[in-house]
Amino acid sequence: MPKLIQKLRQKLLPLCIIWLALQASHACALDKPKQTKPLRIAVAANFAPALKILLANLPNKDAINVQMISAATGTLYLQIKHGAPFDLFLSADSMRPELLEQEKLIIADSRKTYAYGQIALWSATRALSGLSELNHYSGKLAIANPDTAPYGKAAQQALTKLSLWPQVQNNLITGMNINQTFQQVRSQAVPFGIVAYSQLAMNKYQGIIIPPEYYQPISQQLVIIKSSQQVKLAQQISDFILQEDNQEKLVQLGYLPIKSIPLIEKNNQVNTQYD
Amino acid sequence: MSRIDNSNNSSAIRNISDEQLAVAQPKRAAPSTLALAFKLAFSHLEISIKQNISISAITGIYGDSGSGKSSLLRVIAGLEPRAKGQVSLNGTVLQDSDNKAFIKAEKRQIGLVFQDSRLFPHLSVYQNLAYGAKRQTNRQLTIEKVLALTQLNQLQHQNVTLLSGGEKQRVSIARALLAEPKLLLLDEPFSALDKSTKSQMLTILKAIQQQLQLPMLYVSHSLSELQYIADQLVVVSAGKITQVAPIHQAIHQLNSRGETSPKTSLSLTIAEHLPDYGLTRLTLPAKKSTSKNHNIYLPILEQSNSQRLISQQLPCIIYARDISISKTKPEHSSIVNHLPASISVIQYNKTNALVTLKANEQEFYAQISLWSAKRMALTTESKVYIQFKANAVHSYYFTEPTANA
Amino acid sequence: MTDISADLLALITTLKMAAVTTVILLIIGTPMAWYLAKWQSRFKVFFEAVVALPLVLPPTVLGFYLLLAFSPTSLPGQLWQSATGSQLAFSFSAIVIGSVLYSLPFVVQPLQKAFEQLGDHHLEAAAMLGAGPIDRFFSVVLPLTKASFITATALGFAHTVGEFGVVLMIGGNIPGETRVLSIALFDHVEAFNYANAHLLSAGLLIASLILLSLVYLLGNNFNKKQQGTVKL
Repeated sequence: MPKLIQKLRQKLLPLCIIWLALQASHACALDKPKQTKPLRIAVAANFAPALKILLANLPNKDAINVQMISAATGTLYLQIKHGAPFDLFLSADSMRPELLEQEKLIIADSRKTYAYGQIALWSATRALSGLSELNHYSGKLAIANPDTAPYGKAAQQALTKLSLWPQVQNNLITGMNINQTFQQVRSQAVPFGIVAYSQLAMNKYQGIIIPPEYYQPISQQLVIIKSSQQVKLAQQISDFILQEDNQEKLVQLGYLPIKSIPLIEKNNQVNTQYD
Repeated sequence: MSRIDNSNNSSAIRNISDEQLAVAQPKRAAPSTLALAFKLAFSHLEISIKQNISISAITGIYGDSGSGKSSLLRVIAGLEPRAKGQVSLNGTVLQDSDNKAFIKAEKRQIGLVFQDSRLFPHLSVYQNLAYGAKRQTNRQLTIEKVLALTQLNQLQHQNVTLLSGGEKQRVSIARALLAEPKLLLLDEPFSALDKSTKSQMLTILKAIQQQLQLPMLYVSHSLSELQYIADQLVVVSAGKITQVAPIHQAIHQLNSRGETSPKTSLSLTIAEHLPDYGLTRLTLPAKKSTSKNHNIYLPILEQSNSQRLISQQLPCIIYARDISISKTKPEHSSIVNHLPASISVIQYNKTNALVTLKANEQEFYAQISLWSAKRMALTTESKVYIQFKANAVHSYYFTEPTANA
Repeated sequence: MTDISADLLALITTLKMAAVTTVILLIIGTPMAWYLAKWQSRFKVFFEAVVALPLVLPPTVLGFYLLLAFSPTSLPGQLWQSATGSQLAFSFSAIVIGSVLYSLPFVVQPLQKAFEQLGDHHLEAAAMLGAGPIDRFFSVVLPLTKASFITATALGFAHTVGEFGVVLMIGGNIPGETRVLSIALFDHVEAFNYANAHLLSAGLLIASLILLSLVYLLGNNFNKKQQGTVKL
């Protein structure tokens, strides 16, 4: 029996060593960030690159340890609902923040629109002259799922507005979210697609912006999670994003700033009259 | 082929015996008593056994394949917890389904040698032996001694998967011995071996039994093998024990049942080797003071003038078909064995007659044609001579040339 | 934190998750495989099917239900919290538990096959030599099924490294805690960081290729050894 134990020890020893090594390396790697408790920002995947650019100019960024966690808005919503340890949530829509507010999972009055999304028609195979290219188009068209993705819903509204919906309806390739749609077009698997303009702006692609008056504004909202232990810091980041100069930056990144909302609504009215 | 093998075997066997002499006097162990009363159901067969068996040396278990003899061993070994009823050895209850008692196989101190050896392929010969040995608290045997007993010294560092069939079974027996069982079970251990290897193995096993005084239960479907090795026979048929008797008596009982080819089974004393004649002389001692000893000859057992086997008992089989009957003393014949006998029973079968005769109180069986029986007008009590060639006397000790086998 | 150091952290988290998961899988998968191999019952097929379920269920679906279970508002989540004092969902423990469930068939199935093939012969022989059940496992079963243990370990480890859906759902993508390589990789793609994505993919592929090749090399050597000896 002692021999057995000895053999057992021989077998388990390498595993123990590996485990300890992992533990040690893990501890080392975490040593630095753990000095301050990280502020965790859950951000909708399509806004993550933009947020990164904005946060690069955070005044005291060396003193603050920010962790960005990006995923689909729906996933992040589910996770927050089930206790995810996030402080700030930047959603790609307004529906999930509203739901969280109803569920009393956010700090009161923390729900703010931080940007408006824009959509654009895009092809990775050739340069487009205008929306009219769709008029006689009978091939596949990629959009995000109108039932779950805000950019998909906007695409559907715009296509309806342009009276193209019946024509393209049966040739749609619907992505789970707008990033998937972007990948589908980018890979040239689908010749045309309606994607987020921010995706084109950030990757320096040329597309045709669909006028904001053709669809309901895609308002992207942020909230501070109630369970956060760093509400003050979260509030600071929230204010930072809503700051005038940062809002200006969002324009270059393909979003519409929050102050543009009255303009869009006015245009919408004009457009309706024009129709 | 067996000339060379024979001499090899003989010298090998001599080694054991020398060893045997060197290692103190064997102590006579009291017989082990196995009390069996159990049932075990299979889809094709229900084994139902109620029998006490007293095992002093090697008890053979004989039966057709599928008769349940292997399962009987497995129940005794502790590998069949499903068996309903009781099993005990020397008064110790091994299992008792009524009282939910079950001693696990590893706690029974019973050894089992499987037909397919089941050596551990990841261990060498020596390591296989050590496997059993190092799990015993009260060790009497050393690995070195058992290596010598089973003639495995040369092979101890071999990879077990490279061994021949006979070598594998020797390792298997050695391994079982080193677990120091109180009872050793052997399940057709040599059935896959050729005849010459088999006879060598049987002789080794018999020598081991005598030296260690270890009671053994030996399962086989070969009656001649059991006749050579066992002193008692248990006959199993369709899941039941039908007979338990001393070996020769049991074989003679099987004759009258017509289940096997009829044969005479007897043990004879080795009297002398006659190298000039190519014969060994055995004696059938007189049972009454009025009669004299009879001699029976068989092909010589040892080429040398060795006195080693003299006065030992040799189990022999003579098939009834090899014995003929003569009314006069057959003096002018090449047939070397002829004994006066009296007919006790004549059993007429469809195609032949089986005649039971007695010579010096020893029963012999002769199978003759119906025509001969009628022509010779044989009747019980008539005095006749039985005759058979030296070659007709079979013993597993002797490795017959394959042509005659 | 730079991208490289973030990816390194994800790599370490991944290796740690896969290693812990594999050890747990071997500890619980071995007896499961054993009972499945030895169990003679009509219900056996049902349990075999249960073990195989993670192969059928989309990982995100499995992840969704695990998220519901691990949530602080659900019973298992509460039990965990009262036992350990910390929340289960979005913790390292959560992704390990998720991975254990998700990779279970990859460990149980090869082991079950191996135990079935091994049969009872050598075990009975060992019992007759005085070896008890645990002793038999370490002295006979383990050495004779070594190759299958290596396969099971490799498959369990590799499958856990490549795991995405379950970890994404119940882990919450938290750096240093639950952000693993596959998710970091996905993040890079989502964020148009194609250079980083390619680097990470190539690293993951090459590392996995080396690891799996090594494992199969080991396995083949064992097989060859055993085959060669069986033939003779």
